[in-house]
Amino acid sequence: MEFRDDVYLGITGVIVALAAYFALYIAPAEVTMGELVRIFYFHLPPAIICYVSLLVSVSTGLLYIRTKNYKYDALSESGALLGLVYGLITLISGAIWANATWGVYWNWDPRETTTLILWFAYIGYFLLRMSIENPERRASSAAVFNTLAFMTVPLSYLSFILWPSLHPKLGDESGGLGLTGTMVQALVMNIMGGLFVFGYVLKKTYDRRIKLDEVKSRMMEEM
Amino acid sequence: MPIQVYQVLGLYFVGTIGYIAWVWRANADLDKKLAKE
Repeated sequence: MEFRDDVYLGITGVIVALAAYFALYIAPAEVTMGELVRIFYFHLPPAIICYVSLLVSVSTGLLYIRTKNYKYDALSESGALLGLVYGLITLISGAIWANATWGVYWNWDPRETTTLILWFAYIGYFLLRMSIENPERRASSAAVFNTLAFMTVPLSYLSFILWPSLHPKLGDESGGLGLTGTMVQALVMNIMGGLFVFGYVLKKTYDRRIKLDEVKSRMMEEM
Repeated sequence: MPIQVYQVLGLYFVGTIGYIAWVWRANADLDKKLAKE
């Protein structure tokens, strides 16, 4: 069956709109954070998508090393690019939330710092790709670098367990976020909506990369 | 509703829609190039 952009985007649009409505108007305010807790519904999903995207990137990078199939390299690069995009959204939305609750945009909290390290590690991944012309060497080196850069993902995820942090924890009664039924529903809906969008943009980013390779190879043939 | 909620919502939606628009356009441009050759 052919992939229908319009049908997929229509379903995604409905889920995203419903999720946003739930987060803004149905879910209640939180006891200590009040209405500011609603930022959480638009901050956690991009963070999860960033991790998922980088997981796709590192897995397909390893598959490239094993099979030497360039399609895996293309998917790995697409995942890393989306990891950067969603990582940036997470960092900026986190800074806005930090300013609203802590009074500063950035205070080098372990979660903030490790996520910034993660982001720069993947900037390094793209700098490495840009610096190597030979496609085979570029893909292999990028896959190896990706494996090392991916270590920043568990580091970022576990940072607030490993070091003392102000970052809110889910289900933590001592100063964290205690989410009730409707809040959990709003969160799950936003994560689902975000993952639907991610599926679409990953496919389109991968398509772009495959077409770009084809254009480049045709140009090389003509020369 | 605090302004920061709308700032984050706007960032998330504009960022995502902006990326979709960019990747759509990039795909369309490459389709044109491939069709020409």
